[in-house]
Parts: sequence; structure tokens; C-alpha cells
Amino acid sequence: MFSDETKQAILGSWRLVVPIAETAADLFYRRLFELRPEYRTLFPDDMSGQKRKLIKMLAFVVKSLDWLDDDWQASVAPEEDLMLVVLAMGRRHSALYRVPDESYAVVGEALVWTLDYGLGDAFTPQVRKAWIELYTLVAQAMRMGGATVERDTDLVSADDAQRQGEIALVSQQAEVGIDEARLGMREDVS
Amino acid sequence: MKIGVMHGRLREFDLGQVLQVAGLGRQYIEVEIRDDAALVGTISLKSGKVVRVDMPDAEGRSALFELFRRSDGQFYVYRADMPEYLPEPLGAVNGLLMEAMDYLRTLGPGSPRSSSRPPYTEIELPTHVGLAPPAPGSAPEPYPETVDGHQSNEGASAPVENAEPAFASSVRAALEPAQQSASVPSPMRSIPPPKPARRSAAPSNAPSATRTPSSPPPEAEPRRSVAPRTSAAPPARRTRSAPAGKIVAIASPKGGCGKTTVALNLALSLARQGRSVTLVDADINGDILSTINARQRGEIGAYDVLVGVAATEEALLDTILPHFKIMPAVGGQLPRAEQLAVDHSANWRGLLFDLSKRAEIVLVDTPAGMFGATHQILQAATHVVGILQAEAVANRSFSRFLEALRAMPDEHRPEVLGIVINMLQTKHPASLSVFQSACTELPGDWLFDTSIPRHRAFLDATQAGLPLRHLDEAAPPAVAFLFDNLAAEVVERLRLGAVEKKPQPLLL
Repeated sequence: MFSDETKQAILGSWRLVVPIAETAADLFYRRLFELRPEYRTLFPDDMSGQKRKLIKMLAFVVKSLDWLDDDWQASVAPEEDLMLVVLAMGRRHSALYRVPDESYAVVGEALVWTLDYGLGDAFTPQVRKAWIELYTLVAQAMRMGGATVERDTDLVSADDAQRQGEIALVSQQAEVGIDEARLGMREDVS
Repeated sequence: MKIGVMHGRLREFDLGQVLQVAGLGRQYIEVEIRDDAALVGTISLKSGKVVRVDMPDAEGRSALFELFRRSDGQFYVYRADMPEYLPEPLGAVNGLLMEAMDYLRTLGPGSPRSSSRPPYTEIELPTHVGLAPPAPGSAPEPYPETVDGHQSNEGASAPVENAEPAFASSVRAALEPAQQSASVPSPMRSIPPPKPARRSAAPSNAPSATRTPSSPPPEAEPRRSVAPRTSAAPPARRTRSAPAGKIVAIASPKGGCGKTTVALNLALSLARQGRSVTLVDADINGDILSTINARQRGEIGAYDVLVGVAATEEALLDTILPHFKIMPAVGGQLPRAEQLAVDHSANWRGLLFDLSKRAEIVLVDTPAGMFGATHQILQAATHVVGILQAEAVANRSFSRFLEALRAMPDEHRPEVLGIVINMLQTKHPASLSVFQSACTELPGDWLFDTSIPRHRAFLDATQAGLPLRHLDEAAPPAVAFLFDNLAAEVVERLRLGAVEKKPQPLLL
């Protein structure tokens, strides 16, 4: 779905984000609430879990881009599938959290701002373009998920995949490139 | 077996959008296009590639293009079992979308999809064949019963009413740099690098106290890249998010050369001269509170603020002088090792900028070395004062100071306010030669006129846990006054305005 250049730009810049992931998550939410103070009430008072979720989800999205075109026929578990996980995430955001559609643009702005601020010179026009492309598509998929995904289509529905995905994320963290200890997050993730 | 993933109306999400989302995944996906209950065509995808397209009377590209012509109908997305044999794909989704766009264009304005709206990302994704506004009230069909008996029981209540056709472009609009300029600081790289070259202060072949003989820098004039204090152009960083006051980092590559001593006594002198000063201890190891024997006073430190467990005010300690505050490095508890490993650049910037709103001068005593926390602090600092110990080892390692500054991008590099020679022993030839070479090698205006000698008063002060001047308020040791001189130089170089003076007559 993405060109090699885009993938490389995302993967390369993500490696720079990982060491400052905690800071980046702080910046992101600070910026988001600066842009839309009213969104603060959508989140719990204690944001640490939310920040962790954000980092993990970003890590998952980035990791899911990391495959060789030659492997296109390989089968991938549903819980590791970008489309299914993102659709389910979109459904939860719309059905559970009642997130308005216009928030996707604001979140995107906060994300790009955070990357710009956090990466400095490494946030080149190519990197910016790649992240915008990625975010636009993920946001589109989330919105589509919110609007069109069935609630209980199947036992292995997208939501189930999402649940499995979160479990898989925890077990895959080393691979994903997120080391909880480095983030100073020691609580159990359940 | 087929498992339903999602379904909706093409009026709400057009085929291009559906295929893009389906192409994000790596499952074997079938997208069915239906007109009411009747199957119009099926598009099979795997890992972002269109594997096959089938219609009753067409297949492949022509079938795909035909499907793109439909603006009405429903889409159903399934996960399906991957066939034993996958044919060579027709192509990647993006490429095929572009072809479809081209094809639709050739159909001319009379074609049903001629009202194409612009591609929704700024990249090469012309996805969007036109999209009519959604017809209100018409919910998508539930999954046809052909799907393994799975029929949705709530398809009619699916939240499809609020279709917003221009959604993606609104996302993109919010992300575009032009849109950001109003609310987001412009990116640093858009700012031209500052600075004229400065003249060389030393013959380039002279044995240098401050250069690295082993690794010659790429430029002919190595110090050129270090922004000189006299630079006409302001450092670029200021335009991004400028601190309110001066943030002066005290740094040296080698430990034990008196950074903390200089920082503490300099800060005190500045405060006594009427400046509002905050001294920030960024050195977890040899910290200021230990120097003044007040370890137990600091319950909260700068690192607590950095990791977000305390507010800035909580970490500030008052001193006997009203405009002089001290922020210790750590409070009662040392930060966890993993917290120290995190890059706190942005947090340091936030903290120091915040402090610079409250004090005219923020002095930061950095840990030894030019990397790690020091590097992060230097990025936020407006100025740096280098401490050069008049001793051979320190002298050799001082080239690190210049290298580290040179390695920083222009917009992050603090101005060099000056270099202080510390622990000078005028009766010791080796010590003196460091001083002499610094005089000749350093750019002319870097070296402060004030040098700090090695003196037993420093030992006494440390022993007593006091700044020099407080050893004996009525008759402080002579070296204490040197910091008044140094403070005056610092003020002059920072180009700070005069403090309001109230001359008092001598006679009563």
C-alpha cells in the first residue's frame, strides 16, 4: 500500500522516536489539548495508560509496514493485520468513546506537530509527507471502521482481532522496538 | 469460508477509499460490489495488491474500471480463504487507482463519475473518483445470506448517516504545513542558518590547546561553525519558541574542573548585583546542595519536574536573596535509571523556558561531559560558558567542548558566552602554559578577563558548605570578588540592561 520510500521514511524516523517515546506521548497530548481543550474530558484523569496505548499503537502501525514485497503471499495472523486492527480501533472510537469525526484532523495535526518538534532536523519534508500519508490512511480506515463494521459478525471479528492484537502487542514488544523498562512504565499491561 | 469485515454504501465511501483501506491489510480480502442484493462484481486483494477482478461478463482491469464507474450500490468486505494458487497480481492498489482515474477521465465530462474531487492525499493517490453526497436515510443492506449464514441483525442501524465526503481532504488540510503556520511554530529547518565566518585568532599550524590534532575538522577554519558571540544573525532557534530570558549552561568535557563552584559563586554574584537568577542543578552526581551542605533541603528536584511528577515551583528553593532561587537536581529520591536513559530534550526545553520567564538569568550547572543530559540542556540553552581547568588533562579534553558544539545543528547551538580559566596556578609552568595557549588559541573574545585561581578558600568554603562570600560576610576571601568581576563580564556579554541604581550618599 505504501511505496518503499514511504516505508523507509516511516521506519527510519520511528527509530528516532522510540528513545523519546515517552516524551513524544507527553508532547502529543499536551498539543492535542492545547488545540482542543474540550477533548480532555474524553480521557481519564491519569493519562499514563493512554500514553502507553498511543505509543503501542503507533509502534504496531509502524511495525506492520515492515515487510518485504516479495513476501506478499505470506499469511498474517488477523491480530497482526493493520487493516483489521485499525478498523476495530475505529469502531471502538466511534461506538464506545463517541469520538467525533472531525477529531481525526486535530489528532493528525497534533501528531505531525509532535514529530516535527521531537525529531527536529530529522523531520524532513519526505518524512513529513510519509507520516501524513500513513496517518491519512489510518484515519480513513478508522472512520470507515466506525461507520461500517458489523458489531458481531463473527467470533473472529475485527474486534476480537483487536483484543488479540493488544495481547499480541504486549508479547511482541521487543520486536516492535518498545522496551517498557526504557519508557519507565513498569505496570502490568492487561 | 468468508468472514464479513465491513460493509457500507458507495455513496459514503467510494470504491477507491474502500480498496485503499482493504489494501492496508495483508489478509486475503474480497470486496463485493452489489446493487441491491444483486452481485455486480468482486475484487480480490492480498497485501495491498489486486489479485483478480471478476464480473459476470468481464474480468481483470476492464472489470475493475467498470466497477469504478458505479457511484451507487453497496460494498461488502470479507476475509476469505486464500486460494491454493495466487495468480500474478493485476497490480498494487495505488497504481490501479491511478489507472482508473485516467480511464474515467477519458470518458469525458458526460461520464457518471465526472465530478471527481481532488485526490485526498498530497501524495500520488488520486483515489478519488467523485463522490456524491450521501442519500440520507438509506442504510446499507445487511450482509447477503450467502455468507455462511452470517447475517447481520443490525445492519439497518449502522451509523452511516453522517457521511462527510471531504473527510480525508479535511484531515490532509489540517496536516499541511500552510495550515499549520497559524498555530504551530514553523519548522526549524525553514530558517536559514545564521552567521558570518569569524576570523582565525591563531596561526593554524600552531600546537593548539583547543583543537583536535588527530581529527582535523572538515573546514579550513574549524571554529567557523561555532556561532560566535558577535554573530550578527540571531541563532535560529529563537524564532521557533524563544525563551523569555537568558539560559546559560555551564559546561566542560572533563569532570572536577569546578563547574559547580563557578556556577554557584557566579550565580550568587549575579544575584547580589541585582539580577534575578535561578540556578538549576542538572548534575545528579556532584550536586549543588551537597556543595552547600543542604542536601536535606531539597525534597523535589529538576528531574522530578522533567519526568512530570512535580511542578516547577515545587522544586524551586528560596535563598537569603530575594531574587535568587535554586533548583536542586534531585529530591529525596534519585530518579530511576531507566528514566535517566530517556531523552529529556523536550522536557529540558520546557523546564528551562519556563524558568526563563521567571528569572532574568537561568544558570544551569551541567553534568561533566558534553553528551547525554548536557547535550540536551545545551539544545535549550541560549548561551554556554565553558570551564577550562588550567591543567594538562583538562586542556587536552577541552577540544571535546568545541567538537560537541560544532556537531550541533545551527539552530540548536547555544552561543559561546565565554570560557573561564579555572584553578589557575601562576607559579606552576604547566598550568600557566594552558592559560597562555588559551590566550592565543581561543578566539580573541571568548576568554573571560577574569580567571579563577586555585586557592585554599575554595576548600574552606566546601568544607563549611557555603559559597565563598558567605565564609565571612564582613571580610570575604579575595577570590570571592573575582566572581563579581566575572558576573559583570557575563552581564556585559549578555547585553543585559542596567539594574536600577540608588546611589547612597556617604555622609549621614
